[in-house]
Order: sequence, then structure tokens, then C-alpha cells
Amino acid sequence: MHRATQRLVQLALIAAILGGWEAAARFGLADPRMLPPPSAVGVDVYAFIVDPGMLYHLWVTTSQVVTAFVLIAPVGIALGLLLGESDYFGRAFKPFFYFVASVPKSVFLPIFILAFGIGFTQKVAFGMFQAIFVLVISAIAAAQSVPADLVTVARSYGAKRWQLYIHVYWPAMLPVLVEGIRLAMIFNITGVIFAEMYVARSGLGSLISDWGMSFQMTKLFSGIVVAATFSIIINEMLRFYERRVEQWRV
Amino acid sequence: MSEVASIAVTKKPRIGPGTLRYSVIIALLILWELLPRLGLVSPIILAPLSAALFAGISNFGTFAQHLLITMGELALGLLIAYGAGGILGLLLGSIRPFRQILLPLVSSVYAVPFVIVYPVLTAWWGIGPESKVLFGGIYGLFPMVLATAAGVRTVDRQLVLVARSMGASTGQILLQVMVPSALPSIVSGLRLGGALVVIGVVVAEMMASTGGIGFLISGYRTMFMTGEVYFGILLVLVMAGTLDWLIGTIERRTATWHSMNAPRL
Amino acid sequence: MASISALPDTKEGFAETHDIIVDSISHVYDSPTGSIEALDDISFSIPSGRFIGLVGPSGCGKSSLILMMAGLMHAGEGMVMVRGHRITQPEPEEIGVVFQEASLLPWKTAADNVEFPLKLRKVPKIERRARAREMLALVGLQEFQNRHPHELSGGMKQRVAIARAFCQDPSILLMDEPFGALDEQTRMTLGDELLRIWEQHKKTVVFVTHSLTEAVYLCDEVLVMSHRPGRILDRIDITLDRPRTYDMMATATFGQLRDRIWRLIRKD
Repeated sequence: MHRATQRLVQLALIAAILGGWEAAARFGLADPRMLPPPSAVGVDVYAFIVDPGMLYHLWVTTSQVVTAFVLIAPVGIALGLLLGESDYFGRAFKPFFYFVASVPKSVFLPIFILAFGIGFTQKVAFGMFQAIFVLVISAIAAAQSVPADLVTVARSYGAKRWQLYIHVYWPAMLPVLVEGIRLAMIFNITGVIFAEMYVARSGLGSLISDWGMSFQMTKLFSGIVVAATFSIIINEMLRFYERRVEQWRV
Repeated sequence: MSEVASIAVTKKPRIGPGTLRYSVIIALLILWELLPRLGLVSPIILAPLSAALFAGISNFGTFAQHLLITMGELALGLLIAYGAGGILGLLLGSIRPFRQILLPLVSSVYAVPFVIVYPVLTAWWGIGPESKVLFGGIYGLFPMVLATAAGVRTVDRQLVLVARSMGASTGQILLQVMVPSALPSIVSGLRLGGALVVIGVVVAEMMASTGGIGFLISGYRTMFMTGEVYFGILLVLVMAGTLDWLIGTIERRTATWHSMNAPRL
Repeated sequence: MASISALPDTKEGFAETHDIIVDSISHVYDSPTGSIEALDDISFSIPSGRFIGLVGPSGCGKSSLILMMAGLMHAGEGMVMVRGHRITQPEPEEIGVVFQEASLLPWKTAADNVEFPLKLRKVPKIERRARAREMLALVGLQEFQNRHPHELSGGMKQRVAIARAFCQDPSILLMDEPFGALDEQTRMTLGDELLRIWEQHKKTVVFVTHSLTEAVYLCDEVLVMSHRPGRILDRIDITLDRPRTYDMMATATFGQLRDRIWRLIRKD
């Protein structure tokens, strides 16, 4: 099946689901107070993006996500590269990171609240906490993915250490690193939004949580749409970059 | 002679990496106990290890009661994730049109934090166990579908051909050739899916619930009973670890042949 | 080679003595570069109990023909008759197939693999086991019955595959380059073993191979196919006595027969 046909069928499928949903809500098959029709949700989405009051919350979430990422990315990547390069430290601490990565980290949120309160700092710290493990593991994999024979060949041509880093290591590691960054970002966003839903005065998550508790279903769905779109856009942007960087990879 | 000796690298017997790791872990545990006790870190933020354990023992009944609730929700959630996830994955993986159309959609949705859907579930089903079971179940369903589909896709076509030549029915081919062949992938799906069901259930309990460990942890936090909070977290970690260990044993039992051929997911 | 498309009606008794009748098979398949004619009006018949070879250049459609004879593939035109009736799907009780890849289920032991066709037919366990053991003994692998495929060599895996095909006790055995992935010494050993088993249980065998030596050594007759689109160029009678021995390979007759086949293929 051609890619084009696939896309068409996927779009048709989505259209059919939306259509069915609209019909169900309008013609009383489902309670429109519980399941608002897509048209109503769309109206609220539009209302959201033109309302500075609402956009403020989006800004809060975004700033938290970005801050967390900017702070943790260099640390996580550096740490992972170190563990990947150094046989000694790698063997010592890799199992530790793999283990903690597999643990449900969301359960630690109450500790972050006890330590940092419920504001900006806490959200950023929690986002960093969620992201760091994926970053370290990806960076380890990136460091170990450099083909040894490429290094040997470069060295036989007299490449100095910094030249090796720029011309061999970096391009070889980039695809794995970018994928790791993308995954870390997913964890980061999930962490921040979860923290906002749990307890916060502002942010997308807090809006969604409030609307849910007060049964404002249309607004709730619009909030979900905005948050989902936000995540998908960031993910696709990173994925686009990831594809560009890994074009030489088989 | 002396040149060789001076070039030769003398390997000092340093601490082995394993020893280093354990020393660090033990040091961390000691710090966990001492830092709050010495007042270097507020005991509201970091309850000493002993205090956490003591809190658990003294509130044993409460913890046990809510642990049971959580485990019940977990069991049902796993049923949904493994059962529905496995079946959907088998269908998606083996039926070509499904796979080509639906699989890319499923993996695109992966980037969206699933938590944002939880308020819808509580609006429709209330804050009792149902919403937890559904949330955890659906959360764990996604990786299970993807892993099972991947496993079915990588089945050796030649095996299927041979089975057909022996007159095997479609059902027999599915159950006796495709599923065993896909087993390594399915087991990794069990792993990831199981972990997500645990996370889903506990997180849902933390956000809005009438019971369960997550509910307890949240409650204790609002009362600044840090020891109890830490114990609750420990319980969740133990629960997740036990599930993972159980699946690990399943993985080991099925490893007689697949360690040679397992596709790495 | 006379056309035999008028076959089933006029020549009574033909279908009884000929286990396989391939009647005017043509086949076209689609590829990214357009449609490709794989087989071009192929007709031949295979008498019961004979060991027939099928040789031809790569891509001539030999494998497709085997799949059609096994009921695993439908021909665009024409039909295959097996033991008097038209074949449209696998008939494991009549037809056993051995492929180039042994394709043993890696998670089952050798014995479990051999009894698998019977398990599909829901034959009771005790009966299955006994039969599997019998078949493994036939191929000389009774000590390895509890081993898994990854513990077996290539030659041993193929022997298990042969045992598995025999387990169904079919009257017809289709073999698509079964020794193709093995080294020459193993091929020769297995070839002799196959003949030995065949002498004991006279089945109708269709043996596809790339090796002309193998074809001449093993078979009663050899069908020679052209390159794509595949047609039958000729049918050569192998005038060597049975049982076959290695010394025969050095005889003039052997060389001539081999040569004849080679020339046919080269000329085409």
C-alpha cells in the first residue's frame, strides 16, 4: 500500500471518528454534557488560543518545560557520555541508572512538593528528575555506538583527539543523542503536566484538573486538545530534526 | 630492560567497579538516615530511613488495607493491558492493512502525556476504583500492542509456509507458530506494559481517589507526615519491582531458545 | 514432449499410475518492474514411486512449481492433479514438503518438531511420540530427539525436516533444494541416506536441485527447465542401475548424462 493511500485512509479514519462523535453527541446517543461534540470543543480551543488569560497558562507550562530541559540536558548528556566512555565508571554506575530508570518515578512527586513547594521551582525540578535518566541512558548508548573501526582509521591518519571528537565521535553520536533528547522531552513534558495537575496554581495541567473537577466537560476536552497538540508539535519538531541527523544511518 | 619496565603501566589495584557502586549505595543509605537526624536536611523533606520504616509498621493496618485496594486495581488493569493489548497487537501485527494504517497512528499518540485524559475518566466513572483500572489498563495497553505487533511482524515467514504445507489451520498457525515465535517481544511488552499499569494506577490514585496507596501518599503529604509518605513510596517501588521480577522469571523460563534469535526491541 | 492436456478423460488409468499431473500451468506475477511471466505452459506427469529430478537455471520457476504441486500457491492458468484429483490447498496426508531451509520450530525439540504435523491433526500423544521416534531413527537421529534446533548442525536439521515430512507418511515427497544450504560432503552423505530411506518406503519424489551431479546421482528421470519464463526443455531418463554407488560417478554414462543436461541448459 502506497504511503499516500495510507495517509488518506488514516485521515479518513480520523474524520470518520470525529464525524461519529459529533453525530453521537448531537443526536443524543451520548450525553452531550458528558461527551461534548467536537464542534463545541473546537470553539473552546479557539477561545483558548485567543485568550491571553489562557495563553498565560500555556506560557507557564512551556517555560517550566524549557527551563527544566535547558538545565538538565548538558548535565545528563555529559554524565552519560562519561559513563559510556569510561569503562570503570560505566560498569560501576550504569546498572544504577538503568535500575532507577525502570522505577515509577512519578510516585516521588510528593517529595518534590515537600521540598520545593508548589511553584515554578518544584515543577522544573520534577521535570528535570523525569528527564535525566533517559538522557543518561541515551548518552551512554551514543558513546558506545561510535564504530571502533572508524576511530582506528581516523587515528591511523594522524587525527588528534579534538579532531576525533569533532569529525568522528560527534556525527556518529548525534542520531542517538537526538533520539534521547526527544524521549527525554516526552518524559519532561509528562512530568511537568502531571505535577501541574496534581497541585498547582497555574499551568495547562492545573486548568485541565480544575475543569475536570468542576465538570466543565467542553473546556476539559479543549484543554486536552491544546495539551496534546503542544506535546505532538514538540515531538514532531524533534523527530524531524532526528530524521535529518540520522540520514546516513542504515 | 629498564625502558620496558618504565613503559609498562603498573595497574594499581583500585576499588572494583562493583564495589564502588555498592559503597556509594551504602553511603547514600547512611546519608538518608543521618542527614535529617543531624538537622542538615529538614525531616519534613527527607524522613530518616528508620522513621519511614517505623511509620509503616505503626500504620500497618492502614497500609495493608489500601495496598490491597491498589493491588486489586492493578490486577484488573493488567488484565486489560495484557488481554486486550495482546489481542489487538496480534491483529495489528498480522493483518497487513491494519498494521500499515493504524500502527503509525498509535505511535504518534505516544508523545502525548496520557495523564491529561484522567479527568475525563473521573467525570464519567467517578473517583472510585473503576477509573483507576481503566486508566492504568489503557496506559499499559499501548506498549503491549506495539510490542506484540512487532513480535508478530518478525515471525519467520518460512515457518508459516511449512506449517501451511502440513495443513495447519489459521488458528493453529496463529497459536502454535506465530505466538511462540513472537514470545520474546511479547514478554518485553509485558514488562513495559506492566510497569505503565503500575504507574497509571498509582498516579491516578494520587490525583483523585477514594483509596489505594497513591491516595494514602497524597493524604499523608498534606499532613506533612513525611515518614508515612516515604513508606508509601517504598511500597509502590516494591510492588513495581515484584511485578518486574515476576515477568523476569517468565522471561528466563522462555529463554531456552530465543536468546539466539530474539529481536532486540 | 507430447502435450498431455487431453489426459484425464481419454487415458483411463493414467491418473492412477501417475501421482502428479501438471497440466498446462502458466503463471504471471507482479513485480515493481512490471508483470513477469514465471511459467509458460508447463505440462508433465510423474509416475508413482519414481524419483524425479527438476533442474534449471535460477529464477526459472522451479520453486513456484513445487509450491503449486504442494497446494501452497495457485497457478494463473492450468492445474495440478494429485492422485486423481485437483489440488487447491495443502494435503499433508498425501504430500510432504521439504524446503531448503529446514524451518524447524526453534522452541521445540527435534522429536516435537517431527511429531508436529501429527499434533496439528490432533493425533493422540502416545501415538505421535512413537511415530516421531520411529522417524528419527529412520534418519539416524534418535539420540538427538530432545535437542533443540540451535544445538544441531545444518545437516542434522535437514534430516529432522525429512523425518518430519516422512512422519505424515505421505505418498508424495516434494523437495525444494533440500541440501542447497549444506556443504558438499554433507550433501553427498544425505543424498545417500535419502536414497536408502526411499528404497525402504517407496514414495513418489520430486527433487529440485541446482546441482546436476546430484540430479543424475539421485534420480530416475530428470526434467530440465528453461530459464524464465520456465518451460520443460526435455525429460532425461537416467540409465544407471539402482542402488546407486559413488563409483557410478566416475563412469562415462554418468558424465554423458550430466553433459546432456548441461548442454540443454546452456543452449537455451
